[in-house]
Amino acid sequence: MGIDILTASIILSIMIIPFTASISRDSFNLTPAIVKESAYAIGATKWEVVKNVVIPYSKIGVFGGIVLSLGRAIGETMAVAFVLGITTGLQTSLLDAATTITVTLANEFAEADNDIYLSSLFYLALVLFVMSFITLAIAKFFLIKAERKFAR
Amino acid sequence: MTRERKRKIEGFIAMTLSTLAALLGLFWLVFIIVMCLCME
Repeated sequence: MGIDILTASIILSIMIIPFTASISRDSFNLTPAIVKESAYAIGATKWEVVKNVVIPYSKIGVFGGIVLSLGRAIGETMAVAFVLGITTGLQTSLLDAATTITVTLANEFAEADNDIYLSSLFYLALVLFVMSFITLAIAKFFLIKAERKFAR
Repeated sequence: MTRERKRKIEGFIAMTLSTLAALLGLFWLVFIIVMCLCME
C-alpha cells in the first residue's frame, strides 16, 4: 500500500537533507584556511585534506547539525500524517501503519469531546515538548562546543 | 605499488564516488521538480 512507517521514514530523511547539508557546510567552512593550506603544502591530496583535516575539525558541528535535523524530523506533522496511516499501538513491522505524537494531536484535537480526552492530548503535547526540548538542547550543546573549538 | 601511487588512487576513487553521489542527488532533485511540473 505504501502507507507505512518505511515511507514516512524515507520522506522525512529526504526532507531533512537540506537542513543537515547547510549546517554541515557551515561547519566545514569554519575550518581555518591556514590549516588546510598547510596540509596541501606538505603534499596531501584533496581527499586526504578532507578526510584528515576538514572532517575531524568539523565533526562536532556536523553531529550537532544531524541532531538538530532529528529534532525537526520529530516535530514534523503534515508530511507524516499523509503517509503514515493512523493506527495507535506499538507496531513491530516497518510495513505497518502507525502514528506519531504530532499526527495524533493534529488528527484528534478537533474530535476531543470530553475533558479526559482533551487532557490526554495536552499531556501528549507536553511529552512531545519535553522530547523536542531535550533533542534540541543536545544539538545546541554540540554546536556551542564546536563554536568554542573554532574560536580558539 | 608505491605508497605515493596508492594514495593517488585512493584520492581518485574517493573523489569519483563523491562526484557521482553529488550528480545522483542533483539528478534526483531535477527529476522530482520535472515530475511535479508534469503532474500539474
